[in-house]
Amino acid sequence: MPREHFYQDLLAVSGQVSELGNVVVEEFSKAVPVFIAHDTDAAQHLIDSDEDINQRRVNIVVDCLKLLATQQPTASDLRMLASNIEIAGELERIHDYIKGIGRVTIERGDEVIPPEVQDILTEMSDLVQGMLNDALSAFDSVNVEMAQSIPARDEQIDVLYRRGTHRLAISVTDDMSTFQRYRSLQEILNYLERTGDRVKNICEWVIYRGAGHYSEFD
Amino acid sequence: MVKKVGTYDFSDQSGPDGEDTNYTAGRTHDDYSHSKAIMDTEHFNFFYGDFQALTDVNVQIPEHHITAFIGPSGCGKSTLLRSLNRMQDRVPSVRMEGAIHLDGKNVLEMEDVVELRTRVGMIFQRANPFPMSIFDNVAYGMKLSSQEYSKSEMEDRVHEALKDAALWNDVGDNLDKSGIALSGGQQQRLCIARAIVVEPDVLLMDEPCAALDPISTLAIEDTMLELKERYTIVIVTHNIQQAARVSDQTVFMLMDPETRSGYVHEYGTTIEMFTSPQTQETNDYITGRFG
Repeated sequence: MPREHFYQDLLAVSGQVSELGNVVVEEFSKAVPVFIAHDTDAAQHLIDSDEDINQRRVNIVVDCLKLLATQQPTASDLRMLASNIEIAGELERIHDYIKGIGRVTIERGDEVIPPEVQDILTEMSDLVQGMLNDALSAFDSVNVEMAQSIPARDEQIDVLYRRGTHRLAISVTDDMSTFQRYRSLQEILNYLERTGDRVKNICEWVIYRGAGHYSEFD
Repeated sequence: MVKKVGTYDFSDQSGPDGEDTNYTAGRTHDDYSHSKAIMDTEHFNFFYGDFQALTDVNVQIPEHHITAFIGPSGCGKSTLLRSLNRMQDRVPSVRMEGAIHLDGKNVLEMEDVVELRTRVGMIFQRANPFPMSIFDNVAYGMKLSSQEYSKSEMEDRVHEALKDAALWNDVGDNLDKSGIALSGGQQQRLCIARAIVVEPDVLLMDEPCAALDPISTLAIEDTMLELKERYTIVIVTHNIQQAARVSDQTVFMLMDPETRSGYVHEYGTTIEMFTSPQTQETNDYITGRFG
């Protein structure tokens, strides 16, 4: 096949995105359990690993730019590179949220989290992780249909987010310490909800890569 | 064949809230969806004796835009281009069916071929200046024309054509110099000047940069972008990136593996063809997977 070397380079850079995705999923799966367990050592690891994630993203962008500059990619190749750059960016942002969860874990006291909120956080985390896993599978196999089906699942996450936010709002008393505690829980809810949105963005770029059109999900 | 003419909405420059987002990408690629087709082919078939070189070609050439014919060797893109001004008329055993319209008139039925070629000029792969002065090279087409020109009128138009072909700055002070003493890029510009001095409607270019160095190539491409304000350009190119850089519309042709006859496989806006072609074959050709 003509351009075999270029094609191998394209596959390699897409492979880097998949690897970045695997690392982010792995870290994400730990984040909420670390927060609930108040495991500050593991939380520090989540913070420290952000540097590696940022570097991986930079490497992907630079490699894609090199191919753009030297190989004049078009059509599906061009879309592959554009989606690699965008998806690497989304994964890097998701890891920023994971880092945020690590930071909040260290900052929060060791008060017990209300069981109902704990359940909401765990359920949200599982749902987001499922979405992220599937979005990355759709990316690996360029499965447009799969990528189109994933964003609808974000509605469940939004429902849980609103329920959690409501639960926290009615729990806040005049006591400042209660406010501080609940604020950290609210931050975790925010991070999980935003991660769901980032996964939707990943799906949009998988669809662009496969089908050639960009459609934004609400 | 997949036809996508005008499906890309270039006119919508607004963001989600309707504000102008000032998109600049692709600004050299113009929307032609509202332009009239100055030329079109209708069920056009081309034969060399028993061999059918082109089958059922239906394309539209939008006015004041650049259309590129691309495709692997043998797909008939040069044959199609040359048919647009009947360059193969004198080739024995050539037969053409269907119609090629220029402003609604079927060029296959035109009796005055010189008149047709005045309106539809041609630039070839190898620059072919005549062994005469730069001035006479450019004025040559005017002398052939049935129209009478005064000396000053001829001078004005030669100067104008040399300016439009971006050659004036190089040669304006020495129009008596021989055309064949110019560099390759300058010779090709001279041929462009010679073609446009008679103010054609359409300019056909058959691999116009194939024999040129990269800088001269880019300079000719810039000239083409200037010229499309006044002329309609149709270019055949093996250089896919050149098609991407200069053309507004791209026509992708293929050869049927069984009959070995060329046909138009897919055509549409260059931006769509180079980002989201509709068929695997176009995608493979444009990405360099075959051809």
